[in-house]
Amino acid sequence: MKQDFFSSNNIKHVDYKDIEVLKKFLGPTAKIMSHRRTGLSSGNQRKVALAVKRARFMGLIPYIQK
Amino acid sequence: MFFRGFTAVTMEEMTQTEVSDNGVYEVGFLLVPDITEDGLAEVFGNLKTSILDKGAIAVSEEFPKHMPLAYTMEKTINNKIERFNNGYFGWIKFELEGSKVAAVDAMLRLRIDVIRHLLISTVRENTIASKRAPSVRRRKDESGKEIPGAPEMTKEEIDREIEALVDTKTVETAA
Repeated sequence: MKQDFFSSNNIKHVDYKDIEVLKKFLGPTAKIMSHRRTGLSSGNQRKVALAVKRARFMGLIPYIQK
Repeated sequence: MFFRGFTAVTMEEMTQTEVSDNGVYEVGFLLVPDITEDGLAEVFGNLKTSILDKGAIAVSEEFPKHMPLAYTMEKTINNKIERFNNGYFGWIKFELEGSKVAAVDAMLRLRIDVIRHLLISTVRENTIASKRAPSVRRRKDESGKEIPGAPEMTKEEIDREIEALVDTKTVETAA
């Protein structure tokens, strides 16, 4: 992903319940992708990281995938 | 007497402005899977009223849906560790005074039918991007010119077009 997904789609908020969007930023082992691979702005990368951690806590996405 | 910027503000005025700072919060919760489909509406209604009783104003909500959990969760219910692999996930968005939010959190922590809950500060508008209408993509041909999409029509115009098509078809079949 070269462009910021949220800026290009005009999305202002990252919701932890939006698993389909969050899954775009997870690797095969469900780790959060690095800033370089996601291509997100620093602010949006932080928002994604927070949303992923919230979704993990609520059991919507795993902490680790084997 | 206090000075805020260049204007003098009395203590009374300051308290008046501070009272009206209601925030928008959202509570996401996982209910135990033992609840029956009929009892679910009752449990959800009960949970919602207990939040509204604290002085909250409901903004939006999603009725709990049964879903498998990404990992096994544990909760101690009546001194016994219960393990859950699925549950009902729902959420309620509400407006409430900041000082009363802790009471909502404490209330949810004590409920035995809630496996886990998450109370966050959010915004009034819909934050789920995938449920929003998809943005219109303008396609371009090789020379860089925009390819015109379907013409924009109102609902009435579309209805009229369909009716006209149906009429011609019935005439054709009759002939």
